[in-house]
Amino acid sequence: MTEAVLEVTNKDGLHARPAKDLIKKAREFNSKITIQNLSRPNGQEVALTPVGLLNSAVRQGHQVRLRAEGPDAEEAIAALSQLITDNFGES
Amino acid sequence: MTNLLQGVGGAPGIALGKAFRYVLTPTTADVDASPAAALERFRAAQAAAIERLNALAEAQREQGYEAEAGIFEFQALMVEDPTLDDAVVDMVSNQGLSLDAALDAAIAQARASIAALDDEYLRERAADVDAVGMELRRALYGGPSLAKVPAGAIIVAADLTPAETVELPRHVAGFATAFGGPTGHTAILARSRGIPAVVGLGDAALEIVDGTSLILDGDAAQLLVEPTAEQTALYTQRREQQEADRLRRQSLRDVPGQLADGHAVALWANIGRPEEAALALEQGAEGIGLFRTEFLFLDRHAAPSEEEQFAAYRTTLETIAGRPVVVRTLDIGGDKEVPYLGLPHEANPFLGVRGIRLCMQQPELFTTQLRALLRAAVYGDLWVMLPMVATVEDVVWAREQLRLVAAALEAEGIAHRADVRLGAMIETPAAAVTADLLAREVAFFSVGSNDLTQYTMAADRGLAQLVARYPHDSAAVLRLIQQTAAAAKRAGIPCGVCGDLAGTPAIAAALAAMGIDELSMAPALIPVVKEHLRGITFAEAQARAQALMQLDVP
Repeated sequence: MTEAVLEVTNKDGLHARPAKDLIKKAREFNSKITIQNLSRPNGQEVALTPVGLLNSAVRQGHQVRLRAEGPDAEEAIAALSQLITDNFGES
Repeated sequence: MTNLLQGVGGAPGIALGKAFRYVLTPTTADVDASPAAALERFRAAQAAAIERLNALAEAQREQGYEAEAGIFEFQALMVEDPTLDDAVVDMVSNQGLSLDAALDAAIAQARASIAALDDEYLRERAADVDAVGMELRRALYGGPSLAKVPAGAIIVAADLTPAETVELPRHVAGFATAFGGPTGHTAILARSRGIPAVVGLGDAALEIVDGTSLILDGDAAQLLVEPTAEQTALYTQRREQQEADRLRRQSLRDVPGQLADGHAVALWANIGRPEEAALALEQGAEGIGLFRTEFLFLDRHAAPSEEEQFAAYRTTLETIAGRPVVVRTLDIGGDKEVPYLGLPHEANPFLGVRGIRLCMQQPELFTTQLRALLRAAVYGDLWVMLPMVATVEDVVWAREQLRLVAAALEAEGIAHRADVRLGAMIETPAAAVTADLLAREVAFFSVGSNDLTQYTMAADRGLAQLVARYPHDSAAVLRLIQQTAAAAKRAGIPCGVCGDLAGTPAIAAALAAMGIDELSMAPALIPVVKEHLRGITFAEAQARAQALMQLDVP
């Protein structure tokens, strides 16, 4: 299993376009990927899906933990981390 | 029997027109022969919904609406969300539910957990789930096309998804929905598009027959069904008046604030989030007189990082394109819930460790904010304002912190501006009474009249009956403001007002005559105040000020 803990800096948090970008990227891999919002007291680990993201309620400044399990877990985590730390291509 | 329906909110404006019913209903023919047949229909509906949402996204993107495009694409992904999908498949295959019932249940389930979140913004994300549900239902049952709505019609619906609100043709007079709340996306979209609307009318709205004459009053959130001739005449006149007012104010938007005889008084805006800067500009704000930064610190479990703050300040400066932005450093005290600050319980939080005092106790918090501010200052005209100043020593301490931060950034080779204007909020009686001493130490003043009133009149601003007896336009408060303005003038520094007094037209004029250079208020109030000021001369405003301060009494 591989994982990463990151801070989300996008002003929309993980909603709308950033959420869409993250989910589309996750689909490129064959691993099972989960996300957990560490900045919320009841933040559960959930599958990285639209409903899962809405439930995680990740806003700007929150810290999230991504975990992946599967054949390309490491590449998946690397790619998703890159998206987040690059702030989804925004300045 | 009354023909009036009351809603919970909507978008301002009056519309008169005929009802166009936009209600999706399942056809009775939709009973599937088997679970397999039901799931096949479901898959087809999913594909159709995804295609439609992606097409809408593309259309939005072409018009430059990147954010809206992102929302539609996110909804397209949600159409095939495994959680929803699994729920529907399970209920149809293993629990014998019809596709209708399974879809309803799956959407309701997904919605329930999100709607229970403790954040207004996030509760509204539940509307995303609803929108996906409606897109799937539309794909299953078909529905009237919004493009076919006749000109001048008032749409009556259960609710409208963002997709549908976006598709509303320009010639629609307004819309009324049975569901939805005042801060829901439907109301928000209507307001941003300037379409009169009423939401939350209840089930009675769904009984309105196609073609019925309606009058929609978005300000009062009311719908009149089959109005009388008198009602029609009354509302027609009101509508014409509103239109004339709107055009007049729009023509004034780019004209700077001034009295009838040209005496200038700048009209700035108070904002609480970077997104509001654009709205401020739309209303003709000449600057931001108060940028409250608490949104960065509240409702979270850890302090905001320097990067996060820098991004927010920079975005605001870039939006406001060169006009001044006065940022108030964090103004938090014992009355707020901020878990990561460990604030002790205080008996009198409004007289306690708050504002600049809290920054003295937790200097790293202050330093991080100052670093972000000085770095962002490169992108515009940023002024820094200190809350809860009571003594010269308060300012001297803060100025030293600013100097240290600038020196550190310089040593680290990080781009910044060291020469930002540093000002003080005048909200304690101590500051107002010693304004002459403070004026030598800062580059500007801004009077926080709400708190100044509270401390001067010794009346808790949260107690309505006290506030009524000891209001913010009392002679005591206004005399302190005048004293402050005079001290500022003698020292050659600008003095503004950013509390509620600034946005009260009659008082705004008096403040201008007292020597206040700039009034900062909620963006929506700027046009009204601007118009009022243009109708009063300096001499008249001065007389009003004298009367309010009771200085005209012999």
